[in-house]
Amino acid sequence: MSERIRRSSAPFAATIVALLVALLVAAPPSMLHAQVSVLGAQGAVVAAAAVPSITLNVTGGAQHVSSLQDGEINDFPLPLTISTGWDGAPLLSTLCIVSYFQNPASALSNGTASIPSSRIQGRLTTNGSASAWTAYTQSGCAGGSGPNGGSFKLTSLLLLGGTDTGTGTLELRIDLRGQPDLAPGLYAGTLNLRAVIQ
Amino acid sequence: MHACVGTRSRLRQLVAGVVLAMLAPLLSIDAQYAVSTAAVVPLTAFKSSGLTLAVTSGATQSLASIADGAANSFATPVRITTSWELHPAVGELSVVAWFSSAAAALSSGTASIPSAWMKGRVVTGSPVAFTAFTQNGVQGTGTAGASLLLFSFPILGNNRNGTRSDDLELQLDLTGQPALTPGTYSGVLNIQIVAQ
Repeated sequence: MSERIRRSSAPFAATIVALLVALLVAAPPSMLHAQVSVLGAQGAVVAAAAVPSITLNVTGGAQHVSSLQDGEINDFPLPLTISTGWDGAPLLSTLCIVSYFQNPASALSNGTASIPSSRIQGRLTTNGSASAWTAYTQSGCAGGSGPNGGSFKLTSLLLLGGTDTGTGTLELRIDLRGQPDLAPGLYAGTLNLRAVIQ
Repeated sequence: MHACVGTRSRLRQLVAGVVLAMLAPLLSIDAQYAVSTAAVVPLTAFKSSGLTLAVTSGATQSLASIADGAANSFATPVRITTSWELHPAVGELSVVAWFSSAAAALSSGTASIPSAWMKGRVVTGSPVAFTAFTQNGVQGTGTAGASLLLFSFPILGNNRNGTRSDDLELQLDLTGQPALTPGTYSGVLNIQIVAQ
């Protein structure tokens, strides 16, 4: 019985040791130094993992279409540059970047009339998984960022952990093809962008 | 034997616990999210009213010398360019010109030229012959007794969007009028689109 246990436990211990060594070698220090482990009385482990940090910045300023044309595609003239940086991302976590309008029924409004988010389209021309024009009708990232039906996911990227940065270029347009004529006026709204590691 | 098994079991738990402790943050086995602060981008888009009128030439009209008792034509016409982009509910588009005062279209000090002595014509519009500025306004646009409808046309399905240019020729007709007091007479002619 004990011989059987000794034989069967040897590969297990070797596997564990090998895995530990591999992790210690592979994992960057920034991912390891912040964890606190407490060995419980029954051998249970309580792990308090450091929450990764993530930042997102946008350059390109306010976007303006000077003369909306009914029944046509109206491009915003300048693209937005999106820069993201993260630190302490867990191994095999996911980076999700989403842009969204809070109210899908009224992405832009002139006070009485609205342009729904479904008429706003975006595409990420560099470093993204959404290079085709896509309407703001998607759901947001996990964690509650971006309303259902008013979002456009720019990317959903599997991370191998650690620290990194990324940039992308977002183009926007208003597609009024097949839509009834808009009432005259100045339509205004706010596009929100967030990055989420999950 | 039991003691041996117990020791090995605790060893396994210890090693497994350490591994789990390390894997927990690395493999994100909990459901924590890291969310960036929101970046906001203001978006605006302007939809024009769909009606524009521009005086593309002849914005200033002048008569170098006024002849009493005769029709005095201004040398060059007022070129009016009209563009429209209208809702299907609009049934008619008009352009009207008017002076603010019927009694004093042009004035020089205390002397005045009434709008009835000022005439206009648009050969591509409504007053193809010179017609006095004595009409009423259109839908509240224009001065009663001092206006002139330059052109008007219905908006149908095939002309909701369009542009056109028209020449407004002006004339100061003093035929049968008493001689004017010498001086420089000046005034302002207003031109406006009306969609109804």
